[in-house]
Order: sequence, then C-alpha cells, then structure tokens
Amino acid sequence: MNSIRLRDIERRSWRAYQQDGLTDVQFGGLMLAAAVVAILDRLGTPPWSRIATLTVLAFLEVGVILWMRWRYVAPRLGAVKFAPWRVRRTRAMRILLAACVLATASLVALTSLSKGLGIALPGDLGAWLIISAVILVPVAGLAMFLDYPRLLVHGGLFVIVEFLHIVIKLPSRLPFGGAFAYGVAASISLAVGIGVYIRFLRTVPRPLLGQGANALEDSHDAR
Amino acid sequence: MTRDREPRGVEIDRVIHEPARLLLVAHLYVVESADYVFLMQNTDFTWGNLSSHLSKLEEAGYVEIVKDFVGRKPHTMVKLTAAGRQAFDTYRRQMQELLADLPE
Repeated sequence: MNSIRLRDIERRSWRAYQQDGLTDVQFGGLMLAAAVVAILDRLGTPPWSRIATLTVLAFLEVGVILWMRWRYVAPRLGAVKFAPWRVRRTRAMRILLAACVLATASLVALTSLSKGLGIALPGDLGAWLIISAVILVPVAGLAMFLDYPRLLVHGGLFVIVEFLHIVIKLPSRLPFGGAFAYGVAASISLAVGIGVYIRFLRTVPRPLLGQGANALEDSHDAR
Repeated sequence: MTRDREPRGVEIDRVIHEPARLLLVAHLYVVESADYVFLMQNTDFTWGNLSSHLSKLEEAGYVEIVKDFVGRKPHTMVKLTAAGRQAFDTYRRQMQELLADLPE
C-alpha cells in the first residue's frame, strides 16, 4: 500500500533518483582511474601523461554513466521537477562542492610552492587528516543531501587508501602497492554499485504504456 | 435539522476525495511537475487508470498538461494548477478538522 504521508511521498520520489547504483559505480570508477594512474606512476611515466589519463578516464566515466541513466534509468523512473526547496538545496550543495574543489586545488598549489615560499608542510599524519577532511566533507554533505548514507562507505574507502598511501607509504613498500590498494577499494565500490544497479533493473520494470508512448497525449488531443 | 447543524465535512471536494485521485494530487503537490511514467511508477496505477483520473482532474481545473518536445520526441508533464493546490490545501484542512475531534 502506498504511503499517503506527504513527506514520505516526496522523500521516496527523491530517493528513487539516487538509488539506481550508478553513483556507487561512479565512485568505483574514480578509484579504478586512480589505480591506473598509480600503475603509470610506478612505470615512471611523466606527470602530464598521468594527469591526461586521469582526465580522459574521468570524462569517459561521466559520459558512460550519463548514457546509462538516459538509456536505462530515465525510461523506468520518468521525469520530475522537484520543489523549489530541493532546487535551493541542490544549489547550496554545488557551492559546497565547488568550495571543496577550490580547497583541494589550494592544497596542491601550496604543496608545490611550499619549498619556494618557505612554508613548513604538516607531517604525513597531518597531510592525511587534511586530505581526509577534503574528501569526507563533500561526501558527507552529498550523503546527507541525497539521502544516500552508502556514499559514506565510498568516502571511507578513499580515506583508508589515502592512509595506506601517505602514512603507511604502501607504494614504496610493495610493488604496485598503490594501484593494488586503489584496485581493491574500486572493486568493493563497483561490486556494490553493479549489484544495486542490476537489482534496480530487475525490480523497476519499464511501465506498460498501453497504446504507446503518446497514448495519453492522443486521448487528450481527441477530447 | 437546520443548515447550521449539518455535520462538518459535507462540503468535501469529491474530485480529490476519491482515493486514487487523492494519491495522484498528493504526488503532484510535493513536486513542481512530473511525467506520466513517474506517476505510474510512484502510484502503481495502470496507464488506463492514470489517464482516466488525470482527465477528471484536468476537467476540474486541478491539473495542467504541459506538452513540449525533448529532442524530436513529444514529452508531456503534469502540473498541479493554483486551483488544484488550493483545493488540496482546503481538503487537508477539512479532513484534519473532521478527524481531530473524534473520541478515543
């Protein structure tokens, strides 16, 4: 039986658009791209090629995810414009994400210029804590905003991998250790995402549209 | 019985009071607009049911059918009109008043 509580109706409609598993796949894909970059790093490729590879993989992934949403998710869930307060919260979330990207870029710039400017960098643990905050703040914000607590698992995986990288220094202790750590984390996120996506495709069939996609339009035109 | 003593609730809007249409209006109330597929998925109505109830709501002036094109394909969104929103608010208030004073 459908709930008639307005808050439940709105929440269920909103959650339906976040629970197709593709966001989990997106996180897994990002970590997989990081694993590829870690392999290139280990092979001694120049930094520009690693950045180019990461950029291409990230764009490719976003393209594939958008296509899957358009091709398989949208026909099942339909289209909806949410209420203005949801739109306002989306805007606030984008501002938070932009601020985190800016913070990350500032950290990278600071690290690069630290020797020239004579700035003392924090130790490994301090660096890891800062990076963890930069990762977890937007992920926690997204999880809360999208009503999607599972995102915290992916954020946690990122933070663990960074700990292995920065504090434990896994890449120098184990051949391809960085790629291995990212690969394991990516596999977990991808397994979760693909599982949820398959379940979504099975449990949410395309609705039967009777006389065809325009049946209702036709009936309205006829009246 | 004088008119003053009529039980409360007799003026309840029957267009909205019907359970299926109430569910439809409730869904449209919490969003800006939605298409037919969204409404079918969220209400478990069949295409025929949805079409029939939306027609009645449209006749009452409670919903607006907005047609446009996405690429070359026609796409239709359903939106609650100001009158529909007002009618639903009134209905909610009436039902709250009607049920609030029931003895335990």
